[in-house]
Amino acid sequence: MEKTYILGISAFYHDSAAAVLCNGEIIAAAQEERFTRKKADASFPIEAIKFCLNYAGIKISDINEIVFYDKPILKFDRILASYLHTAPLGIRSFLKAIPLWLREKLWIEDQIKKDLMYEKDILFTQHHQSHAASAFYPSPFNEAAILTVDGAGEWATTAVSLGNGNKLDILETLEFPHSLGLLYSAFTYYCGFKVNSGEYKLMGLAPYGKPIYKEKILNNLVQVNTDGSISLNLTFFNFISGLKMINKKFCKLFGMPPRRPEEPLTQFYMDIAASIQEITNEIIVAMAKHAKELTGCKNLCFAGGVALNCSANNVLAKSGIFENIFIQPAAGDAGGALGAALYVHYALHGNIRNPQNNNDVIPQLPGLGPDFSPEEIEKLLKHYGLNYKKMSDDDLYKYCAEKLNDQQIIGWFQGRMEFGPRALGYRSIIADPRSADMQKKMNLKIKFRESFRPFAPAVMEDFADEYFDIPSSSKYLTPYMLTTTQILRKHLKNVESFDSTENKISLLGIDRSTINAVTHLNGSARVQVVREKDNPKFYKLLREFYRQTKMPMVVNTSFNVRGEPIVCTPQDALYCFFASNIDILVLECFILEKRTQSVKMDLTEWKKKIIQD
Amino acid sequence: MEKENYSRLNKKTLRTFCISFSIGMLLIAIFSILRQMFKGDSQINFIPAIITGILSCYHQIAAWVVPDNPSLRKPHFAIFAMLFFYITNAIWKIVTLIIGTVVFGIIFYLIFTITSVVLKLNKKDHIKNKITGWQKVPEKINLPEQCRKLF
Repeated sequence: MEKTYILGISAFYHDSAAAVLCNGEIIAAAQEERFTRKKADASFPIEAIKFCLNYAGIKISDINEIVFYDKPILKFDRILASYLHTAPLGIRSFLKAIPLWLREKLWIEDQIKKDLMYEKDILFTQHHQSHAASAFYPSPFNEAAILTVDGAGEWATTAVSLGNGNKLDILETLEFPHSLGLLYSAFTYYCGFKVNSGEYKLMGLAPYGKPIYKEKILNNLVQVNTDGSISLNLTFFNFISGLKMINKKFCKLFGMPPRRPEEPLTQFYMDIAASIQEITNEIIVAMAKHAKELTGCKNLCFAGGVALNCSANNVLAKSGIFENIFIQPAAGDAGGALGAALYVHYALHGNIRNPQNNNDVIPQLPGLGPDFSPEEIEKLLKHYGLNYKKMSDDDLYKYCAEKLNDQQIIGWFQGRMEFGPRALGYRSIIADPRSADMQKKMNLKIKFRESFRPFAPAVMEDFADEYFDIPSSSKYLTPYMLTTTQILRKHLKNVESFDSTENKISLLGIDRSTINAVTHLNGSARVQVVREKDNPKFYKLLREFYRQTKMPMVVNTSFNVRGEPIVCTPQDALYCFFASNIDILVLECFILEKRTQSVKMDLTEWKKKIIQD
Repeated sequence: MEKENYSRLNKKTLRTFCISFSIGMLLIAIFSILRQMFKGDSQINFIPAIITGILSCYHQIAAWVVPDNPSLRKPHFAIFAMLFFYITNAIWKIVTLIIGTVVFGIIFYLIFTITSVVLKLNKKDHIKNKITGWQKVPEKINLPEQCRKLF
């Protein structure tokens, strides 16, 4: 049978990526940032494309179709209309944006053909079509409602679609500028975090505050209708015409200026974060209700940048609107590359889809990036003259479990790199979750990031229900760390501190549970449920750790430091290992202990690429 | 008679020089603006090289055509023209950046603004809050063949 290859590309906004399919099977997918080492890199994903082609063992001429994940002309139409409406106020933003559009973004077809030396036609799916396809086609459902929510696509900011077999139809949309994603990003900016990459920090900050500004936001900034549609009061926002998300009127409403990035986080900004998070939760639930009414489906696929909001996903799962919810782990723009390719394979070419409509099967998605052979790794270790040991699998698990029990922190590099923002046991930093001071230690000494940031647990599937209250509708979310769950009360300690009115940052040192390092201040955790068939090596490590300690989980955080993309290659892992206070590095079957290394790596070039977010 | 010819030639030379210089500069400006808009930089390579060449040779050619013209025989004039051009070229790199991004941008902006007013583009309705709430998507948008179109 002749093989058909489709290459999907997303680029030029944030998180550019590429994905390649062979006869509909996902062969490889990766974000450009992992190769260029620039976080959220938006440039044309030439390195990611090269990787995808290499992994598939093909040349560009073997690709039957290339598909771009949105329609640039329609997006340009929206941008021009925005400037026209706000003229002459948007002149500064216009002068910055238009040259970029005229020289680059409008000529995407030419650029793809030129950069890749590709001669066939390029296809263009709509932005929300790509998002919807990225969630529906890999899902285990034959029929599902699809909700896609992000900042803005062409004109649509939110869409409700129906997926059935290989068909995907967008039914209704909310249109620019009324966008939940942009509303959340406006508050991200206001709280001093970077738009398009700091949203997860705002989410992590929310449990430290109380939603005391909720009514103020609802009365002034956003009208939420019963059908889940929203309408922003544009007099408070500046994103249409300006270079900033909000204006002075916005700041005046709350009586405080925007927080500068490195300023201390006061209770005010924590309360703001809590308020917008609660509103986001309510809007998502209302939108999901509308999607249910419109489609009558029992399954929901959720995509777009907002689908990475784990707190909202938990509220959505607990609402019981849908029996099953599926979110593809690269739910943001990076996943658009995958969605665009899948849309062409199924919707355009009408290929038969065989969804694994079996509740016991979870699609194997995350490990779609590069992997490295022991030979390649050993060659690198020898090149640097590093001190290392080679171990069999069983010895490796025993050794790592012992070291974790000794409160050592391990950089865990195994198999294919994850596609999407979460580290799921392929490129992870792991530690013992029982330790009271592990969160602080890992934030400040390993990741060099804000002390309030929580860590996630990776738990053996067999014990997940013994520690966490996981709604049945979340079973497709927990393998990818896409939802928060409440830790069962029997494991919690000092519960009264959860409702304390004190500045909650000061409560960080309080013992909150038997798994303190992964317990957020409100007793929640962003759990990853690990199954043996999903990630056998990671599961066996957890099993060995459990055998030694009776603790079936570890702390699992992404293998990087603040401002750095997750490591891709063994070389990146070595840089991160030497630049941080990670005690042990595991590169496939090789072990490196920091204390036994006499060689110092030159980190000058590596440091230059780190841009604090 | 001979003197008058020299005089006329000098005036003509000066006038041609000024005109060619002005046209050259104009060409560079346009070229740079276009390059700035489409390529993203203001490097000036091709056009200035030609014009510098023409200008630096101009008086040499003129001197060759009219060998007895004392002012044209002086080589420093050609060197001066060349230096002057390289300096102005550098200045133009900066000027055209400003022209490219500000003047051209403003003109562009005004044209679009005027067009929008004249045509009363209904897309503005989105931003004027006339289009809110869930919008039904036309069937043709969902035709898979639409992905063969750029918009």
